[in-house]
Amino acid sequence: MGETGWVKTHNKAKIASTADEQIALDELGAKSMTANEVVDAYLIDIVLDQHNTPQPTHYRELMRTKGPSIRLDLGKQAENHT
Amino acid sequence: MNALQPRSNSAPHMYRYDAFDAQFVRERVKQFRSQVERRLDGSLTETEFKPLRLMNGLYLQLHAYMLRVAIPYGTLSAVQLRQLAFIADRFDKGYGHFTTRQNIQYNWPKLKDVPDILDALADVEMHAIQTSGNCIRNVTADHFAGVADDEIEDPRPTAELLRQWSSAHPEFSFLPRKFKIAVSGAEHDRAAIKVHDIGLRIVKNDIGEIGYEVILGGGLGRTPMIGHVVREFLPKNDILPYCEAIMRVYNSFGRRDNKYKARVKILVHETGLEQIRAMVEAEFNSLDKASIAHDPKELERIAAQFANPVYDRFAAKFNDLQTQMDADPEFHLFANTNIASHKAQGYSIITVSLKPIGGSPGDASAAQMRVLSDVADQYSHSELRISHEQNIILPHVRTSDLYSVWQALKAAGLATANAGLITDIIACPGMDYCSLATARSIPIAQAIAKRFESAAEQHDIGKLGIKISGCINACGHHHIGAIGILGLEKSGIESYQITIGGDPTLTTAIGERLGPGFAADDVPDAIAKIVDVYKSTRTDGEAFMETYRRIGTSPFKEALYAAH
Repeated sequence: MGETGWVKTHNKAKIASTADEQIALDELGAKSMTANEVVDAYLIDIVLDQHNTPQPTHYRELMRTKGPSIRLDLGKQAENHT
Repeated sequence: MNALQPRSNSAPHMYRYDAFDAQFVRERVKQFRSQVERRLDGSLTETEFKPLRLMNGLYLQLHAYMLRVAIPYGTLSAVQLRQLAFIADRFDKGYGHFTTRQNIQYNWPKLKDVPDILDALADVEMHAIQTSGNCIRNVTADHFAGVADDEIEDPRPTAELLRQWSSAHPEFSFLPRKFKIAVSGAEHDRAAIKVHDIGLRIVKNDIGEIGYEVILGGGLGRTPMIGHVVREFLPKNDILPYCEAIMRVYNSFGRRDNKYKARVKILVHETGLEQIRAMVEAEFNSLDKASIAHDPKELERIAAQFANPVYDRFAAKFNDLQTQMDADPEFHLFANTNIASHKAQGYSIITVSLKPIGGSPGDASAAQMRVLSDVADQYSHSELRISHEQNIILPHVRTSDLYSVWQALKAAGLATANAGLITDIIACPGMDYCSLATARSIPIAQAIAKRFESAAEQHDIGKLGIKISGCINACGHHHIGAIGILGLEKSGIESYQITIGGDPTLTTAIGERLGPGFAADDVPDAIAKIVDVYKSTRTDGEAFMETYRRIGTSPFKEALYAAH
């Protein structure tokens, strides 16, 4: 989820740093699901990389931001694949 | 593959839809098209849509929707495979994944295209109905059905009868959990019948009548169990009433309070075999059997469509296979592993391995599917099979054509000579695709295959089945691998448990865990240590499983963990 709703890449994801912010972000996700903007929304743990871009800490979520590890030509990573 | 032209007399010998089948499938597509339209315009929420899409084999996975298409009892015509290739190119990413349940999965369909895909499937008498959900799933069978030299009777007519009986069965569409049936008609079990909810084994009784041995309550997943014989001999005409009785008992008493205890294997285990048998028999005796049993003429009608092609009686005169093998070492290796004996003289069965070194087990590109369709048209009476081992079978090949077929396969990258060897690895899609997975499977299979890339080493090791699952649900059948690998998460990283001694055949065994899990990078070394124990301990001609049964787990455990 981005600042106001669904975004296509995790780079623009909204970050919740406090418990209250997490509740608010969860509520935004639920609202977007009700509005049929997203199929499912849940909070994930992230770290900020050197570009201040959020990166998932868990390998499952990291995989979701890219695509299959055995087919770099598929999924979101395909845009950068040559 | 431009050189290959279909033979004019190469009609496949398999079940063809009648008017009812065709109408049923078309109406289902039409219904789902409407449901998809309502989902896309927002009339249906995902919560409302989910049970509808699952009834049509449509999952939502890690990156995209996934459509699972049934290949009933693993039998496929060249026309059908060509259509699967068309779908892969037109609606997906140019490939498909063949599964351990004789299905094909497309990993990237767009929701808006799925009704068109289903219509394209219906054009060639295929569908995705009941490939998901708590219903009776695609009925599987021996991939050598009809051609195996150890066969008592072709299991596919029975499987087709069960498919018709179970399709949209009003009483069994909302079972406590999914339900899987496998049928074997041969002396050797190539369909893993003892690890299915119902396993049917076609047998002959003392007076020569053909019937079924009924095995109930097998399964893998988080609680692996070997099925039990509930009926040693069931007359053929009782097959549907008896299955109906089993399903009624399961539907009534199977647990719905706990998803993880809802399979029939748990009901059998918790109730006890004798009690379950008594319950099934009581239900069976209470049924109006005549209203449920099939008309024997209908089974005859189905069986007639599976009648084998008229084989070339002069094919048996070919005697040059050994000469061809001696002249070409590469073909020799292929012939040693990927060719099985056929019940007709002068014919052979070819296993086309979908396990190239470094490839994704079970994946085939659209181009490869077209090559296989052409080869089947030219050399295998337009028929193919999908095995639960994720390979493709050419069931009716003249032995005199083997060398030509091998050359055609080789040109398409489909002549990997490893059927049954250590690099013929079964692997589920794992976390590269699956939303349920806890770890990746495919990269582990690739790393092991590369470790044992040497053809000479593979052939020296001999028959050794490695099976990998990316989660406890065991789609990769790891419990019944001679070496099984289960991918789990441990403290935020992938960890792989190794089991040994699993057996998918009639001597079914669940593998024993050797110890703590390994990091992904350490798995190939661990497998190499297990293989080293085997090679240093085996007696002349002793296969891996024989050595394991003789020496037990201790030497393997010691090799893996002694230094830890």
